[in-house]
Amino acid sequence: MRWRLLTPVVVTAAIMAVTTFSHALGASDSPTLPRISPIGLAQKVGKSQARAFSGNVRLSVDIGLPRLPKLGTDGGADPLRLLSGDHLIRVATDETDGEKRERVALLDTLSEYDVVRDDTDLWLWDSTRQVARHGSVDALTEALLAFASPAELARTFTGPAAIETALFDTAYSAHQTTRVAGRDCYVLQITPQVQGTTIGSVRVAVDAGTSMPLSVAVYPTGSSKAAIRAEFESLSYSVDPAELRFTPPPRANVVEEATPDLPANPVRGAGKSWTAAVAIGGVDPDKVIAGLGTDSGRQKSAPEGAAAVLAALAGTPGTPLQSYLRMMMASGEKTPVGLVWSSRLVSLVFTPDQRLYAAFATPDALKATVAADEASSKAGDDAKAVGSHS
Amino acid sequence: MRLRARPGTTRRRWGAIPSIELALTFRRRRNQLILAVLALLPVLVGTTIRVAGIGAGSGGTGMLNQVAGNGLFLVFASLALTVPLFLPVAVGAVAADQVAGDAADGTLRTVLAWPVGRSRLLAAKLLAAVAYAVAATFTVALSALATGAALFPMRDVTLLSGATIPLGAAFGRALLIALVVAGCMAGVAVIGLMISTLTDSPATALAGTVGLIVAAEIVGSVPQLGGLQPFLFSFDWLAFADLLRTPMYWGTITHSLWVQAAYAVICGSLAWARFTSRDLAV
Repeated sequence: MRWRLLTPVVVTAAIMAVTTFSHALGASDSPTLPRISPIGLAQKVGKSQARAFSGNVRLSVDIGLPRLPKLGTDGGADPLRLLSGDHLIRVATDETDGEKRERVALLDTLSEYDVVRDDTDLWLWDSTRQVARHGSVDALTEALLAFASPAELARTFTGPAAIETALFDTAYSAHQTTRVAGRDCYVLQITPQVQGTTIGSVRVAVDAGTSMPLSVAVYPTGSSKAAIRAEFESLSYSVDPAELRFTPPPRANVVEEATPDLPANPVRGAGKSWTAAVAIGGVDPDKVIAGLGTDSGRQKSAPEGAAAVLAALAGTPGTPLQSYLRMMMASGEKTPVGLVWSSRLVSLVFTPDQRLYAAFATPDALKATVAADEASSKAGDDAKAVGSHS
Repeated sequence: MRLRARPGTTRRRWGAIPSIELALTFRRRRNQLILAVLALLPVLVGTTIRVAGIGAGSGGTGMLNQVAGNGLFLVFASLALTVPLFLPVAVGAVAADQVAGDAADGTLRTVLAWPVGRSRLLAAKLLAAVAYAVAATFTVALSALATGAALFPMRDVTLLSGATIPLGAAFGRALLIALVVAGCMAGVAVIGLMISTLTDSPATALAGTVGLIVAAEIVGSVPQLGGLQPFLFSFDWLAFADLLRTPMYWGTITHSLWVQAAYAVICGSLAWARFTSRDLAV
């Protein structure tokens, strides 16, 4: 009865066929939607109707950093791990009554890291260490929070300012449609037409009904593998109000964070168009990394400035993370403008006067931006006018 | 000579063979010893935490840290500790012995002389292995519950998301978690049974099963092999903790259970093909 031995082969083949077929079915699903002009679609994104939503986002980041190994039950959920690997993030936002209330939860194995924001009030909850940190929302936190949701991430590329500055350097197309989290979407393909940027193209799936971006994928130049992909896996345009409330659980360690001593206007833009950089003041890489290692429950010296925020966001202690970041820093290149570090998508410059420039640009393009920015700030107060033009 | 059930003589009570296999599995001294060791693990962990005073601000991390504040967490922590290795190895070892053990001590030929089809015999052995997997999971969970209740306060549970739910609801979640883990371990039992049909040596079957579990765990921990990981039976074993969030997240657990089901169907068919076509007249 040798034919019996064929049964497992047939069963295996059948299971593989069903799996592949259902995947292919999901992928090729493109609904028919009324035609829309690419620019019209890009402007639609800026005027998203969605004021309240909640859903789960799959985020995968591969910007060229080595992947952090899964650390098992130790380590736990940690925002800095978002720098590489695949993650699941729960997002809930409610802006219906004017105040911005949101929850961003990083769901990791056996652990969770929650950021709960009620207008300016901010709670950071680390389940691994049972620590609830209480503070206020500042510009830097706002910028870091924006990373988690496709809607926020898409705004970086499709916001009104982005369209205004990039209109002449960019090709837009909106020929495709797709389905994300069960909703019909237009696909906006954005292709930079300038030299010096590391972005090959950006694909944004926009909900045809609400204009909310449901998926963002950033492809580096000459690569068909996304460096950043954030996509809603499930989505509902309603929020359970209980999800947006946070009261520190009994017996948790509550830490009141002093408002970090940030320089005035710590986050600002430099340069323009696709090679534009974000400049963050008061960043000393060594201090930031050292700040990650101190257990702020009973630390000796408080990390200062942006380090405090990063340390608060990262939780403690980050010994594997620290060595990881030190390794990353050590691979940087020392140049006249500062320490330059680059990956397939992002370039960073740490200047000697503790400013961090980050851009989706080649190291040479970013170095030029930094040099120009420093020259303009050295030119004195007159430079302010120039800055507001660019 | 091939030993096959003669048609017409299989008119036995349906429950007879499964109950014999169940009794054989659960009465075997070795299998009882494994359950006893599994029951002892949460007691050991609980006592250590109680004596050493881990938790509540002593700098430890993770679920173990919460046990001192809430006995129910010993259930979650014990499952999290045993699911990566102890439980699957225990379940796999017993399943791997189901056929190979009988073949080695000669009882398989006697058993096959019963007027019962080989398919039914295999189904009975599968049922026994799966029942043992469920029993092993609940042994850990119940022992942890008893230890936790005896050594630590039982009160409202703080979930991973920072919300607090009443103790009654937390019991419900603990039961759900035990069921999910039992489902994953049932998958291991089928894999063990499949390997058991491939060989006449219980040691080989045991080594093969444990080796497969360890290999799957290793592949699952190497980030560069990320493409393979969603298809590993062991990869989402710890996803049960998703039931300790608000709202509960079912995506990974559902995926994990589908993967277990796929492995179970493939391994089950392989075991059936092998067991029913195998020549045992040595």
